[in-house]
Amino acid sequence: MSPWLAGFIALLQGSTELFPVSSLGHAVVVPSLLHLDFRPTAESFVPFLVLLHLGTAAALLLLYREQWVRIVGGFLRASVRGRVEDADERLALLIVVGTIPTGIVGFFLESPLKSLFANPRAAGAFLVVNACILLGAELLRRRDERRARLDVDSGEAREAAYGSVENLDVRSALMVGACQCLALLPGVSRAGVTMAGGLVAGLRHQEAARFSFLLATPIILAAGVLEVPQLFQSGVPLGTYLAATVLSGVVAYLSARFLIRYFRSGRLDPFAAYCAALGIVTLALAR
Amino acid sequence: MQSRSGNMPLAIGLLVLAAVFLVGAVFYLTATTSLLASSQGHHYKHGILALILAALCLIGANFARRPQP
Repeated sequence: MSPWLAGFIALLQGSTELFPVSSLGHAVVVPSLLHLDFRPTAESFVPFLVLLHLGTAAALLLLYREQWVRIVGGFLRASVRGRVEDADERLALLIVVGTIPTGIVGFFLESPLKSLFANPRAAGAFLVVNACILLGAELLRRRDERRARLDVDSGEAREAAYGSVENLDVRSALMVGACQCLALLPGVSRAGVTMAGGLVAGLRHQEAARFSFLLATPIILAAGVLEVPQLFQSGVPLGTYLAATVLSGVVAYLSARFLIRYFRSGRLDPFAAYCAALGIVTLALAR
Repeated sequence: MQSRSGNMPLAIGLLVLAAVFLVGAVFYLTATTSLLASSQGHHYKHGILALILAALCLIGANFARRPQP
């Protein structure tokens, strides 16, 4: 892979990972649509993508560094004590509970899911599915707002009626974590399904995004630790890949800052429209 | 089922599960196998996952044995 192509894939991954539009779907679909010399079936594809994800995880750790210090401390305290006593410990518990389903499902379905990476049309179809999930969550939220007679014209006032991550119960965290399993399919966005799950569980958009970002970090780090050793076996240009990882991390950091601001009053609709359009174009054009 | 001493049957169940995962971890980290894997060989990732699950089960057992507020 040329440095330019690695840089392009890094930009693509970094900019799409945290947006609810499926970075993996883009990594499968875009090279196919643009006829780039990039084979998703190559042995080093998944480790390279995972390396790029580590850039994203680093960006999220940087963005939420103070929270992560409190979460890790809370996890250790609660684990030893066997009881949750404060908000940090509770958040740590919710993240652990939300991470378990994807960790287990992803681990055992890794091989069959990898075969889907060779199929841009499948990724296109899953992009349309992703659009339906995002739209469905927003439809449910709008119905709920109408029932509660909220002022739907004022975004921030409307959002104030909903809860924060710390108010989530364990069952809802497990439900959001189970939603995250869908994101193992290329085209279904991890950020999208977890945000949709968060909305259904009654979180504000911004809080649903924060929970999605917090949930992403341990699973991405774990995948990185497990997959990256394969990169060293396959004789790849590590310097280029590491530069691509840094680029991906910088773009992911900027994306996260933008999304946190956007979701103060914004909805998932524009991302649903984009995914539907890209999915339909892919289904029409990809070979 | 919750009492002043917590949920002891659940705690014991989780302890047993933790022991099973620990045995699985040792098995995957030391033996060559194709059990729950795509090919014959050492599957260190399976071993690490089993270790993590064992740790989570132990933490869960600790939660279960204590009375929760």
